[in-house]
Amino acid sequence: MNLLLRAKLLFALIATLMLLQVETSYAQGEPVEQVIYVGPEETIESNVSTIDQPIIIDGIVKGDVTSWSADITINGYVEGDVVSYNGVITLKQAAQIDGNVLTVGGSIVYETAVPQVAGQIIEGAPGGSAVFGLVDIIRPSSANNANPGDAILRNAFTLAGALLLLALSTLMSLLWPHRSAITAQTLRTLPMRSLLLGIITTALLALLIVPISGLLTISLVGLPILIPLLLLLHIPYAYGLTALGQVIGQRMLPKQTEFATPAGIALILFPIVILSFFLPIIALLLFYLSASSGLGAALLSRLGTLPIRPQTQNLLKT
Amino acid sequence: MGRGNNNELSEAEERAAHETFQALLERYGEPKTLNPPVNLAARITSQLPNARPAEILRRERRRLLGRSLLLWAIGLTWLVLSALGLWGIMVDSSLPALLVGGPQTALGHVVLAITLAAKPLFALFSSINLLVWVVGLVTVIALGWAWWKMLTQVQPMVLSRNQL
Amino acid sequence: MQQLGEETQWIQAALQGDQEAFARLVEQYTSSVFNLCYRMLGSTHDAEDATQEIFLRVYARLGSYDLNRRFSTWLLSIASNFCIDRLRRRKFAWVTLEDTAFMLPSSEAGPERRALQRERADIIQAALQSIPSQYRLVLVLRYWHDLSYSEIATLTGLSESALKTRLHRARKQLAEALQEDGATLWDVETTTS
Repeated sequence: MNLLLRAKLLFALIATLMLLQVETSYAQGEPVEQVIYVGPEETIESNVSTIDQPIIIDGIVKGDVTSWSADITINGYVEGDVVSYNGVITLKQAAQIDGNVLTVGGSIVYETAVPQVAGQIIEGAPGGSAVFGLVDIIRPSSANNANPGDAILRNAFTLAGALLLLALSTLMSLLWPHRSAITAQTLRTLPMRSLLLGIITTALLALLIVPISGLLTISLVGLPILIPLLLLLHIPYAYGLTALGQVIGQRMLPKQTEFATPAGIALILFPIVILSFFLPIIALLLFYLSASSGLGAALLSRLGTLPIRPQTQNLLKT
Repeated sequence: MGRGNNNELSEAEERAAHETFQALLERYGEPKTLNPPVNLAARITSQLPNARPAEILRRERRRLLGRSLLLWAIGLTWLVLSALGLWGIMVDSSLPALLVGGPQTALGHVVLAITLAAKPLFALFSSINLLVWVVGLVTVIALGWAWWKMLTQVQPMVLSRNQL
Repeated sequence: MQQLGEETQWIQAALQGDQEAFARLVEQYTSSVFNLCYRMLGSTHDAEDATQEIFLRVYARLGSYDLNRRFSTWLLSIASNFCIDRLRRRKFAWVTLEDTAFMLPSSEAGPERRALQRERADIIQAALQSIPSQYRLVLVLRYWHDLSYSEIATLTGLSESALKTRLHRARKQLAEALQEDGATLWDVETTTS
């Protein structure tokens, strides 16, 4: 089979898989989620916060009403602010809000001509919807999943992301030929150790992200830099991918050294992208697992500056 | 390594080891003294600062003081901002914006937006109960220890050609 | 003894800002400091840089020198601490953006350099680099600078018995390092091919 035919078949395969996934999600319908409901006679003395559970307020809330991706419907009195990242905020006839209203990626729907909001109404923030759209990929909310168009968008986004990653990782191998070679060598020599160290590193990062982003959040200036920070944190993983790609690529194409690394990286990313159409969370975990092995090798070899060999004696440190 | 047998070497043993070692070095032509580059001494003296030693020391101390003051200033700023942010998130969300000119101004608008946007994130953090925090802390310490151990237990080795 | 008297004069003059006097001291001790740095840090390039910085440090701290001690010992203690510190910081030298191949001290680029190392003469130097810095220091001070046990003990802050133990272990470690047959350093070419 020649290359062109293979490419066409591959394209057809991807398209079919994407359509399949879209169909299955459409057929599944909306998963039922528990609604937080405050009745007309009820008074809540504290905040009402959810992540993806819809909120309906008919009564009184002496605090804030916040959600991440769920819709909020206000038909009562809220003493504090109403904030949602990705959900739709609906203000009905009897809505009265003493604070402000903010939505980042979602929208605000008014049922009265003059919204009864004492404070500011802020709708949409630049880049906000893109950011929280990313969250959607991992945890698709019920409302957004009903639209098959969104599923296609999500998949296309994932594919684009994978291509970008391929480009970045290949670039790294070109900018740092010596370092990538030594990192790859370390990965080949100490695969289990690299993987273990990489997994521990990833687990530590995941755990430490929580308090660090908390600290950044409360200092206010930290919140805008949180997103770029999280993106920057993925650069080591791109480098890890470079190492793994080089190891795999060199095994597959021992003669063609120029294409070995990108080929290897593509070979890793391709199944992960396909898997992400059906099981996004598993796919994401697999990505981090693979990239972590390279990251572990990078750490062991001090970013590819120190060749390592497994040792039987334990020499004292320098 | 325990104290055991290596603790008290007799004078004779000590001297023997010393002489054996010297013989070993001699086999390789050591100890050798290298000649420093001819102009090194001149270079060094020409680059001496123009002040007295005491003055140099004073300048150094001042620089170190300046650096630590800077760090303290950053830390304090962060503390103040965090206190402000915490107040804005938990008590009155319009206060931070008011401090920079009010929510009508461009800056105030942004500050208010940030304060509000912090709320759902903060709600998530405060919903994590103490037990989870403690378990998390213990896990981080354990993982951190393992991480450090794994990272520092490898040594660069002098490799032989045929091992490649 | 005459030497010592002269030295004291130079030091006192240097304290008053007489740079000529300090220049005499530098001339006197450059070789000693340079050789210590060369053995500790592994390359002549690093040794040169280090020597320069050490003398700057000596100049600044001249006020704290106790005239009752031997100047050479005080000088070497500053040099030793500097080298140990430099070695400790080397652990983090990989945090750069260059495509540096690797960091073993004898890794200066160039086939001539690598050829030089394969000569017998530099095997001791290579072996020295492969043992921990605390052991390297006592060996260098004892066998290359001929310091007495008490001088090394004061310099390193160890008791004489602890020093003897350390020296003994250091000798063993170097001997072991020398036994690695046909040991050569990692060749960059073979890594990337």
